Amino acid sequence: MIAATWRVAWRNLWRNRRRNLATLAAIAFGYMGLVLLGGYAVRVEHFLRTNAVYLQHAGHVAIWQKEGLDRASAEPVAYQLDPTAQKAVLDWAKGDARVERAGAYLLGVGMAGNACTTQPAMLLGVDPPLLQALLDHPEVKEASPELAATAQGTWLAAHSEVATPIAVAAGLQSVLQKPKVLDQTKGQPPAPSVLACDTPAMATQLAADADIQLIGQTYDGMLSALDGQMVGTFHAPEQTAEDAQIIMPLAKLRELLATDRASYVALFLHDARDAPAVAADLGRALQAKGLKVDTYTYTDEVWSPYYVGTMAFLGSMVGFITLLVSVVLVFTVAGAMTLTILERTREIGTWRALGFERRYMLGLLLREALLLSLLGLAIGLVLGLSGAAAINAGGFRFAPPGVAGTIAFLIKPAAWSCALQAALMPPGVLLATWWVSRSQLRKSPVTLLTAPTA
Amino acid sequence: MTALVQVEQVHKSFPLGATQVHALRGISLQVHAGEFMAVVGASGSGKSTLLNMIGCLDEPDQGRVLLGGQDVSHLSDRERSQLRNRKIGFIFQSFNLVPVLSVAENVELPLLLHKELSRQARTERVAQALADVDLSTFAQQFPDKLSGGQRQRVAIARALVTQPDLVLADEPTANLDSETTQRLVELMADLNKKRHVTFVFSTHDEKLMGRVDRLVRIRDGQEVSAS
Repeated sequence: MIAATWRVAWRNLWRNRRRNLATLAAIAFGYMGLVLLGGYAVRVEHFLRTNAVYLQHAGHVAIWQKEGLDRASAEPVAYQLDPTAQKAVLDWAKGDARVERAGAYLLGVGMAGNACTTQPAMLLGVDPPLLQALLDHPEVKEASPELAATAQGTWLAAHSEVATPIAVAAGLQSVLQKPKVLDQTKGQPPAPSVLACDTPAMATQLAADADIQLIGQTYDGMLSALDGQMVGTFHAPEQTAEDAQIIMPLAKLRELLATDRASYVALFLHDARDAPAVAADLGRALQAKGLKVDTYTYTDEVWSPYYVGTMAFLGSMVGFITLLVSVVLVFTVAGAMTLTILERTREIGTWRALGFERRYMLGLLLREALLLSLLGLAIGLVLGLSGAAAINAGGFRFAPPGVAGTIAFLIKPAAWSCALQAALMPPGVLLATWWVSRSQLRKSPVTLLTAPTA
Repeated sequence: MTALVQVEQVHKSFPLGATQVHALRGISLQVHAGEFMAVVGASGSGKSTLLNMIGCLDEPDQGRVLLGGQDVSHLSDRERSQLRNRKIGFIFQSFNLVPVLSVAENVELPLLLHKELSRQARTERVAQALADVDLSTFAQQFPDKLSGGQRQRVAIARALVTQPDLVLADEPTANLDSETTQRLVELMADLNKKRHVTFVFSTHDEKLMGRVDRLVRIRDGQEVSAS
């Protein structure tokens, strides 16, 4: 009986081919759009998460001294992690299988100079091997290869022979008028000891080497300086860092600022979904040791505001469009089913006369609507996946807002996003079909049999 | 003869715009098991309404209808559906076949509700019903490939396949030519004799009127004569 009902429902779909094909096309193209939109959102999320966690060094979990995130820049001695706290966090991380890597980070501000001018700089101290491991991470290679690559030269770890290798954001490099990285200046005549600033010769003299002077203030208030060698330049994941960021070895930044402290320790996990649990477990473990710390995950707005804010906006936009498209498609199916029911009024009366109850007829109509929507969704899924593959093969690039440089325009539909976007349709269609059929099905068989419609 | 159907003082009216149309005005009637009878009357006399009452397709405003001694006037929708499926076969003026089902599937349709029947038993019943109306070779055809007479024979097979007590036929020959009508009337008369199924028609057709055991004439919703 059930099989027969599905068979009849299937055959009924082909009775008015033109109308049902139009409905099917509406569902298919509407859902194809949703698959592409969802795939774009998945791609953007992956890109932003990868940037936030690995390239902006937020980690999946970050541990700051209590209130350090707000106050460490003003009172670093009081609000940065001392060596004991750093060791406690790193030891805990070593013993937890969920943690892939961990490392201490030091943030500082200072000046970067070219011997003619100086510019404010945001200094990030990180262990070069950790930096390299993060840049080589498969997730980074997949989601953000453009930003993991240097614009010129190499990253720090490739120049272990250099005393103070630094990587400079491309915008700051341009402001400092230092066009060549260390490898490009080898074999060139050296610059004079005193540069002819503000003369036509200055550009040539600045291009003669990759030296950049770093000036900072130690934690006890003294001025400090280091000569850095620009081994590479890069595009920062955030536009705000493009004109200011310098990445340097943690030890060298500590030397510049005369400290052994760290702004925070970042943990990089095998599975990002473990972040809340790891943060909670680590927070408890450190509290038990009497350490006063704050733990943040990459989904905390105060720690990763760009990622969280962008995803909130994108999520609500995709959700709204999905809802809108689903409602339109549900009404499209409801319209088609209304016509179907009106056209088949006498036939429904015949079924009722033969002994089929109202609920059976409702079941038949619901099956037809469900088949129509599922078929449309299946076609839409195939079209959406094919469209995504075609777009990805097209090699298009674009500049995302807030990100320096361009990235590949990729659509990465995920099974969960496709399922989530399709999930509204079947229940909506069933509800709408029930709604449009209930008045007809309430009628007596004789009313249906004598209805003026065919 | 046993009274298979008893119609007792049945009234039925319908709203038509601002007025009420009194289709049946206290009509009483008995149909005996095995009868081959016709209800005749002018258009609007209440023939179809009377058949709808007997067939449990509609409820009387007043009076009652008994089928096999059971008052069916005010049953629930579910009970009426089951009763129609088990006890009554319907033949409609416009054949009312389901276009997406083949001839065999159309005939099998009411049997789908007979859960006690196996697929094999259903198939055998369908084959027998199609053989009875001489349509075995058309079993896999779809209704749109059949002539009017063939379609009505499919409808007859569908009406008889559940082995009902009563077959109600509302103007069954109205859409058929005279030769086809003649053959169809003979077929139904033959089935009535062979299977002892009670047939009640509403008709204008002289051929059918001349072939039935009993004629009930109604006018303005009341019986005026029986012969």
